Amino acid sequence: MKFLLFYSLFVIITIPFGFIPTLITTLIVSIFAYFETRNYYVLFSSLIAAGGIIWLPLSVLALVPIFLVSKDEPFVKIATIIAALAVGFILFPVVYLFVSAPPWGFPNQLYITLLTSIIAATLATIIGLFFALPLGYVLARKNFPGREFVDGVIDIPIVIPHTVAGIVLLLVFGTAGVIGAPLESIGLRFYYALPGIILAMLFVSIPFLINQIRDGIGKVDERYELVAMTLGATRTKAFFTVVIPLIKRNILSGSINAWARAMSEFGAVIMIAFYPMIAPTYIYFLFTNYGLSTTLPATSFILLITLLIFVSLRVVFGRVKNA
Amino acid sequence: MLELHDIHIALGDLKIEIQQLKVEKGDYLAIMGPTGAGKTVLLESIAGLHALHGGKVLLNGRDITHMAPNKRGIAMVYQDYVLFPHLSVLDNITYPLRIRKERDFSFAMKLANMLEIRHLLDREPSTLSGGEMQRVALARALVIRPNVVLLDEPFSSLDLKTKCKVRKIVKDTISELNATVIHITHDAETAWTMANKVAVMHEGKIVQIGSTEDIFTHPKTEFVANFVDTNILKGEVIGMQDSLTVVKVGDARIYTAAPAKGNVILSIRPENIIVSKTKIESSMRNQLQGRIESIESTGSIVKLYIKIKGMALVSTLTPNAIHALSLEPNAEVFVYFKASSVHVL
Repeated sequence: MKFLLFYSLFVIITIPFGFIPTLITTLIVSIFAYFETRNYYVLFSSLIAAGGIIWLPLSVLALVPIFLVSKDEPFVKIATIIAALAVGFILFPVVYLFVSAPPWGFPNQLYITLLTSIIAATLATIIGLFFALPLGYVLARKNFPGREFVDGVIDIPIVIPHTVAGIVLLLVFGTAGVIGAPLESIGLRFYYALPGIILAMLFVSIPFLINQIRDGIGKVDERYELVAMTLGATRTKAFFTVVIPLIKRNILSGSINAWARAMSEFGAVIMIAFYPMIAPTYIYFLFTNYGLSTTLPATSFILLITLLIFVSLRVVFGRVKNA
Repeated sequence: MLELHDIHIALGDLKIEIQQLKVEKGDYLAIMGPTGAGKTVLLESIAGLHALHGGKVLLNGRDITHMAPNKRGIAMVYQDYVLFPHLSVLDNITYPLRIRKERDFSFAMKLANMLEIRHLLDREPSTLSGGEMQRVALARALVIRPNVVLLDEPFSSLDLKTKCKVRKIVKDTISELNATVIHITHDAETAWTMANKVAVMHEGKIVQIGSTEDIFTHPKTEFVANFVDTNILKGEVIGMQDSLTVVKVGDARIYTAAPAKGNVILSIRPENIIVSKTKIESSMRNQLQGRIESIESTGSIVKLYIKIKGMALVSTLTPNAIHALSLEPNAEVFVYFKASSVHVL
């Protein structure tokens, strides 16, 4: 059955909403399943779902006829139900948030913090690309002693707790830090300032860029560059006219992942710059000061915007292929 | 004119040492040798893609040993063509022009016509056949009017029919442009049809260099002779007769015009061996009788393997001749060749 995963997913994530929604969902699902299989046994699903009136979780048995009718192998059926549970685990809280708190009726300050987030994450991604392109090139093309060490170093931001990353950055880039202090004297401040936010975002997101670009360049035969060079291009020109176009998919997906990582960063950012507030900081601020119910609409809105941006990036750039 | 002097290249296990190699303007040099002889690395070094460990490269009298590859005007065409997959055929061919910010593509168009790829200009490289890719790669190399074009086994992955067709187009284009070419190949036929000079490489060294005619008719060592696909016979000189040397090979006697003594190795080009089903009157001194063991067709030529008194000879004929003579395996044949066609190595 083509839509087995969808059927199971819909039924599973509707059950917590109560008896009536479950009954309706099961009815719709069983009708769809009927049109797909032309086997009227699946219509018994809605009857079985009615058993949920005794004890709601029993509604899940409504899936039994659908699974019986499905011609998939038993392994695929079991895998599908487990897959539906896993996807439901991620999807249910998100859906439940939208249902319990509409994405409106929050303080206007949220717009400013969201804008701060977007600007900082975008700048962090651009700065990240500036470093990741040369670094990815060197790692993909050159063999040198200590390569594995460098590869390990790049993954440090991924493996350490983000609060720890924040403290480390604060130590170095704080107003009295070894790098922070001299930069402070020329007017560049990280502590409680936008550059600090960008710095923390850059630190946690750059591994995604480096790894993608290194893997991309690693798959580009060096002879493309060599041929370009015999045809009159310098190594630099060959890099921009041949290598970059050949890894544009890696650059895009690395950038999207890095940007998403930067947008979602909280732990490292608050250590170095609680103000100006980014969206996650503001959510935390609302929660600690006003409690859950006040925070919910804002949370709902942030979730909606983030998902919209992420999904549209995926749709727009998902089709881009490496040439 | 390209000159190499005392070149040393070491890359992993590979060592290349070339004392001298000269290619004049308009020359077509074929470098022949087995896989692993270091031919590709030699080409890459001439293009400036590997640093030399010693020696000098001169181009038109100018030392270019340390010049960047993009300034040499030496274009390279790899065995698998390495067309840029993100560019169309047209953009591939004009890439060198666009790099130089040239807007005049008329020479590129002329090349596309000469190489018969005009109709492919809008296509993506991945949609081309091997013979088409090969010509696109060549057009891209020729469009800069290079001092030297380096071809790394350009025909090796083509099927026989395409190979013959493409070889002709490429040969005509290159001779019309009077381009200087260094062409790597392990195919004797390609070297024979394309080149006016041949160098044979073995284990990083050039073992013989000369005109194509010279290499094919006078291979100096057994290695070269084997490589250029000629008959190699081992025998012993047993005397002189009519100012010819008589060599005993197996049970047969072979006459050669070259003076020699003791144990010798003889080389006879397959195309110099004449095969007939009936006895013919001929002034040729070597007249032997044998039996055809097998017939192997490689397209434009047919190889006859003939067993004669314990030795084996290969003769090449055209498919037409095979047909006209109605030769077939196990047929008894007479074999003729001139004493002057027998070379002592």
